[in-house]
Amino acid sequence: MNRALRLKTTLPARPKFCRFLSLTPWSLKSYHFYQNKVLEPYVNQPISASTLRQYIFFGRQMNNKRLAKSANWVRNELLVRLAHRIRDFQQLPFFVGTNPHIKYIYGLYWAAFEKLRKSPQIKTMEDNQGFCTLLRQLLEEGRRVIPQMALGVSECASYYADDQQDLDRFVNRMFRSRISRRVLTEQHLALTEACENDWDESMGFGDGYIGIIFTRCSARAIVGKARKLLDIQAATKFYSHYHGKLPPPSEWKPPAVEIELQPAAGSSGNSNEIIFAYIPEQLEQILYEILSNSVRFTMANHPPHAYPPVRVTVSVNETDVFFRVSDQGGGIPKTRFDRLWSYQARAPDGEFLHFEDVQKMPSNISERLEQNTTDGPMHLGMGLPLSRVYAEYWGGELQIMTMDGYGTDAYVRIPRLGIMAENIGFDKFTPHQLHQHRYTRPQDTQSNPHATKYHPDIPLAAGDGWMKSSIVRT
Amino acid sequence: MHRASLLTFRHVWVLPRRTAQRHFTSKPLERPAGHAFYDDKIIAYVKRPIKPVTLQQLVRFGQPPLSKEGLHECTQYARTELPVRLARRVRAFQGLPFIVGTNPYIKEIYKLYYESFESLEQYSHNTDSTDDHEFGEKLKDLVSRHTDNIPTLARGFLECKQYMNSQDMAAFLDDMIHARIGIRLIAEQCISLMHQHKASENLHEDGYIGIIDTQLNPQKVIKHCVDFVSELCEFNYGQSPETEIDGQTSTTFTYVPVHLEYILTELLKNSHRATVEYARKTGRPDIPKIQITLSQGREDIGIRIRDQGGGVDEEDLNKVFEYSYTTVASKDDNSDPSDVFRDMAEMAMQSGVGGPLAGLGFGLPLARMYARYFGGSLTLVSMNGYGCDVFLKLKHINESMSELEI
Repeated sequence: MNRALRLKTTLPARPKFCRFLSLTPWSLKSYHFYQNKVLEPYVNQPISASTLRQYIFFGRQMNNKRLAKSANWVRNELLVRLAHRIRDFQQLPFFVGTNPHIKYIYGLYWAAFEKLRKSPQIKTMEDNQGFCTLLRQLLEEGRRVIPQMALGVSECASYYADDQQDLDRFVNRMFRSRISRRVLTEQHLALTEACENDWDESMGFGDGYIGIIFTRCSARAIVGKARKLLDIQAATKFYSHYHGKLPPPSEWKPPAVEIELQPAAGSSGNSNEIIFAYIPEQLEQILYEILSNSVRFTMANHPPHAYPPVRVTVSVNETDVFFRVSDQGGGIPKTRFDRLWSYQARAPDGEFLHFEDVQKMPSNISERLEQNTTDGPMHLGMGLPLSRVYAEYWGGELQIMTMDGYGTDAYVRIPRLGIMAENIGFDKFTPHQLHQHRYTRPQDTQSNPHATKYHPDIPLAAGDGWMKSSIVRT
Repeated sequence: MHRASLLTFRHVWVLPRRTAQRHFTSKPLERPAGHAFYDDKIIAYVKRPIKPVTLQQLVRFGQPPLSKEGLHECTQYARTELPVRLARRVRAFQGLPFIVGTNPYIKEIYKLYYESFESLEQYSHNTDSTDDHEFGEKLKDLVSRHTDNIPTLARGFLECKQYMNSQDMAAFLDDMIHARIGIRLIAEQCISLMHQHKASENLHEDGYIGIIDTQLNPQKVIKHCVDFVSELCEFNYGQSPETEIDGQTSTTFTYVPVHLEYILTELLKNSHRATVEYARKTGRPDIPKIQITLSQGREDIGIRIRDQGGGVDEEDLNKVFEYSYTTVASKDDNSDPSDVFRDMAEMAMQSGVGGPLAGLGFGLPLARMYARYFGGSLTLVSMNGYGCDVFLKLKHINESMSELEI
């Protein structure tokens, strides 16, 4: 059945995901409104956003004795972040909140919150074991969120006016919060493993790794890794999609990815390397996504014996590392480009419907490749916005410029000093933006106690939900 | 010696070069300074509404075969419309702070607009074509005398920085430049059509409808601008980066060639200067080349200028589209600002389209305004410590722009 058509019917057929619904829809029951008070102690705590350096510093000092204390801190922080997230959900328009996909995610969050809240304080290494098991469970369950989110947005986008980007901002806040919890969780799990193995080099926790953070990420190595994985994809999935049958002839080569490194002027040391501290998996995902698009479109628009190369330029200055990926894949037409970063604008075209077949989002590149079978859809539609959220997480950015008819340039800026705090997902409102009729300023409530109070973390700012660029001006 | 006029522009690919002499032959205004205060004519014209012409009409005036009626329609429009727009420009100047108005550069341009208004105003009364030829000559005069308004104003405002807040200045300049583009478009289109009618050229071969070229090949224009800027760069620095043009080089589209030239020259000046200076600063023996890429999209053509000039840091990036903001160190900061004649002479030698290599801070905001005039855009991406990519997108001037008003 034509996927685009499906979206226009008012009531979708019973959603496929219902078969996997393992949660009691207790969120629909009326006592839920009063149960809400369990959120209070956590919602009233501010979120502590840390910098990469702080994570590194903290992680370096980890040992078995400190692990328990750290676990408790993680437990509390996760609860605080989840509570804020749930509260954000509760502020969605009621109509959106009744969408089955949105309700499902809301239920997932409540379940996670309750499981954590009821879990005991950690005092011993055994307690930590139990805690880690719970964390792994939550990580696994959390993989259901994004596909549901995509479908929910698809169905709710039409509710909002064209210039109202509330849903876009909501989705971004959700993604940022999600990454923040995963970073906390994965870091704790990695540190636990390191401690258990006495920071044994053979386990991969040798010099350089502090949990999931690698203090000696090499720009060249990361791009190289993404490229290698991509070559496999190109030879299988992409080739079959664009040129018909498999396997490609022996003399066929995928589009070349050329890397040029430009270290800082006057920098000493190996001019072939650019080294910085980061969470390599995050950067790999970003670069893999961008390179994947470049290679894919190059193959789509050029004959198999004459692929123009994809050029990657890496440069560095005192504060940032830049990756520029330039391809000749034909560019992005204006109509599509204008909507590239908006979930709301893209949803009505049925862009996210492939998520119906995806239950769990892959959490790293290998999982992604496993899931991305040769017969499956070419792309799910969330790769670019998610990559941008990752890039902005530690204060960086991702920008796309295109030349319709020729090719596209992607720019990734990664802060390299590790001094930027996590971008947790709560926009700050500015005083002169507090004009929306639904909310009032804090000082107004003093004079009018019946005025609607607002949650201080709910953003009232206008904007498209993305950070202001420090490299693009137009 | 007089410089090549704009009319022969497209036949002789030589950018107009100025001589110092030109500016100082104009007679000073002989009336007392208080004259303007009592001049009712300005007020009368300012009160009239602007009658915008759509791009479609402008093109249609000159659609082949160019008839006497079509030409007359165009001239009629110019006669009645231009005085109104010029009067508004005069009015805008009169609204500037008094001290700013006494700056010699700004006063010069103000007087220029006043004189132009008065000279054209007399033609707006009659509607027959007997003095069309005379009117045409006046138009040519208008166009040529106003060629260097921008650098002169730029210099003036630079000196007045302390007397005006930047927002007011930006508003004035935006308005002024936008109006100027419109005035020149109408005037030049009129002149060009008159010329074509006289010469009865075959428009089909040429591709030109007045000053609009329906077969504009950007690669040719780029090459021309590159040659010019490269020469300027050699002159200033003793060396110049190589430039390579790739992409969809056989692209053609419909546009106003002078506009494209102007934008490209400004952008290339920036790239050349940055490349040479950064290579020197970092002690690099070779000068990295500048890469220009062309694309032909469904709705617009794209020109990407990629350099390794070190990029722009975030602080500067925030101001890069502001007027009078420049990253060039002023080399004569301690010069006597009252030494007007020396400065004017210097400027006269270097101004015009092929102005000084950099330094007045107007290049980018101007280029952007020109780019946006027909619905295009100018975007700058900076990789600080490496270089800049500038993306220029220009729409084809075609049917879809029929509603665009000049």
